[in-house]
Amino acid sequence: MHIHANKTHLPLLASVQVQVEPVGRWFEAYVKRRNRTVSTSFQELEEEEESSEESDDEDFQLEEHPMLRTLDPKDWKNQDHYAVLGLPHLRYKATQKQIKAAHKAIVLKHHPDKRKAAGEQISEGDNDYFTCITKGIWSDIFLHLLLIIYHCVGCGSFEKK
Amino acid sequence: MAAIGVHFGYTCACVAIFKDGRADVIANDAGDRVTPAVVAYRENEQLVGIAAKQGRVRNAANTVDKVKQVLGRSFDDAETQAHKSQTKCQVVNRSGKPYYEITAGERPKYVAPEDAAKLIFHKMKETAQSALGSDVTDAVITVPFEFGPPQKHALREAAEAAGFNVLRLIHEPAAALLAYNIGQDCSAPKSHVLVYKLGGMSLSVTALQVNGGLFRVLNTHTDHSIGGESFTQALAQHLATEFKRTFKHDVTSNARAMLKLMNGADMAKHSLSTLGSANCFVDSLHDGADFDCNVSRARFELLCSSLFNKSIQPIRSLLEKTKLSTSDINKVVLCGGSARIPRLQQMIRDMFPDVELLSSAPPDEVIAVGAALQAGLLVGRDHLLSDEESVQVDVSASDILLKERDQSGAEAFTVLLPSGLPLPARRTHTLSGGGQLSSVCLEIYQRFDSEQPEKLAKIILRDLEPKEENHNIDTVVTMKRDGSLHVACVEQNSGRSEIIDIAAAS
Repeated sequence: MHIHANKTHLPLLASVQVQVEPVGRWFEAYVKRRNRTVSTSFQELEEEEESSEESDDEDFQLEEHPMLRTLDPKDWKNQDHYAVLGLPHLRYKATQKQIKAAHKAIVLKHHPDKRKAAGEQISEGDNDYFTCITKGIWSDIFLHLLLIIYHCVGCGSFEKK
Repeated sequence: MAAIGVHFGYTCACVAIFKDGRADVIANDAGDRVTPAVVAYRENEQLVGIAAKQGRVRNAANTVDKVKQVLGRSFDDAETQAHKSQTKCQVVNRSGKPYYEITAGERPKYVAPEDAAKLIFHKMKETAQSALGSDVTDAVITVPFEFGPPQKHALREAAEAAGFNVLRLIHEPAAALLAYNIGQDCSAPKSHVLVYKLGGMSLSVTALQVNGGLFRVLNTHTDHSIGGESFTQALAQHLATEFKRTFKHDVTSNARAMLKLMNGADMAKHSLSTLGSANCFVDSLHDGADFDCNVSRARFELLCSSLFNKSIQPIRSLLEKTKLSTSDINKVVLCGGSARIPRLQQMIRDMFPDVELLSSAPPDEVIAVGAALQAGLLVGRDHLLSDEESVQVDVSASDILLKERDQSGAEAFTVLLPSGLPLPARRTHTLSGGGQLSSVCLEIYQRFDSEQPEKLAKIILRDLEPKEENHNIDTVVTMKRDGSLHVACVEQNSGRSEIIDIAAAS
């Protein structure tokens, strides 16, 4: 196969500047892109916006439960597991990925071994508040089932606020 | 997240909220979806809305209406002087600015137009918040296209003084387009939209170009001498003649009787938009004589026929100025309360026989809905461009066409990039030819206005291998912000490509 191209020398008209109305989502997208000074095609912008939302998901904020250390493990059924995991602001919107990450972060911080090393007094057996965290997320499967039920029934019926 | 959209008109204001992904107009405490933009001052209270409008008969000197006319204008402005001569409320000059002289209390009070507007905005905020059940203040406010910076500033100040957090001021025609979701689809082609707004005090016709999701105002025409009030006036005049014929008395010189007749005519006019005839009844119009009159829609249309013609005429002159014909218009959007008049809608439909007439949403609410939708887009964004009501955008100056020609010599033009497209832009076109073809020729053309297309470049793909299925050649055309073109051709089968760059004339 042979490809042949040639160019004639007619002038191509340069772009012109016009005023547009500052309304609509395409305008917002245009301004956003212009401020970034990244050159992409107009159509690619939509995808870009979607992917930026995804990356937002990953660096979410953990809000530590203010009363975490005072929680009674025996009362775990009445506790807000989202709050225990530090996701009270996301609630049902939390993805599985986020719950996993939140669990990991909170276990790393509150594991009895860690606190022992820091010289803290740890109560024996299941009486430590750390049990609340493990109860809240026994395993991923259990947690997911739990959350599904939690939402079907409605969070309110479990919570005592 | 919830947000508010407010349309602040000459005679009426309307508020819509954006919540759970949709925009809805909110009825005020009187149950009306539009609130008269009238403020009445009493000895120790201020009334806004229908109560103020109804009380005008007895309290005309202390009732401020059509405040939008003087908002942000100096006292010597022609508009201010026209307003001064029309309104029953005293307008005085205080250091170059118009002020209303309110004599309701013991001592005269001077009220700035911004303060009267503030009260109306406050009412709209309360209406919206009563429906939202929370203290949301983020709002988008609409302004007429012809408003200058001082008027926009005054409107923004008034809204902010009422407790709104003004996200942006947008133009009324653009808001109307947004309410009908025009051009918001990803692949919407270039189109022209005409926005016809007949409000209480003004007529404005605007031609917009929609391209790549952005709206551009091509031309606009505003006429302040015609509006819904003119129709009411014509009807009231007719009622006065009827009264004169029955009771042998002329009430046209009696200001209070005329106000009563205007109120009656206004209500009759509204019902005539839906009913064939309406009854107008005014208690003790003159000397204890009650007035009762039936007006048919045909009578009303006859009375206003010259006014209707006058309100349709600007469409033609605007299209002439914009060098567009009625067939170039893809959609016509109706807004403003008087666009509800059936006869007027029919006249516009006759003018644009093949064009979609958008009037499914109530015309007096469309603009507020558009503002609420825009507010929903903006709320929660941190870096808003402030006070940049219009923005310069690079667009392509000419149509970029692709001419294809196969061995049989058949030619076909395809518009790849229409003129006025926001840049940078990219289009992909797949050319498909029979497997027996041995060469394909692609030519890139540009067309300015509707002149003959000029050839820019030519790409020939030769010695294609004959095969069973079709040859597919992908062409990707990218136009950069300066207008230069980048064309890439790829033969799908072999993956071999050819790229050319065409620089734009500087």
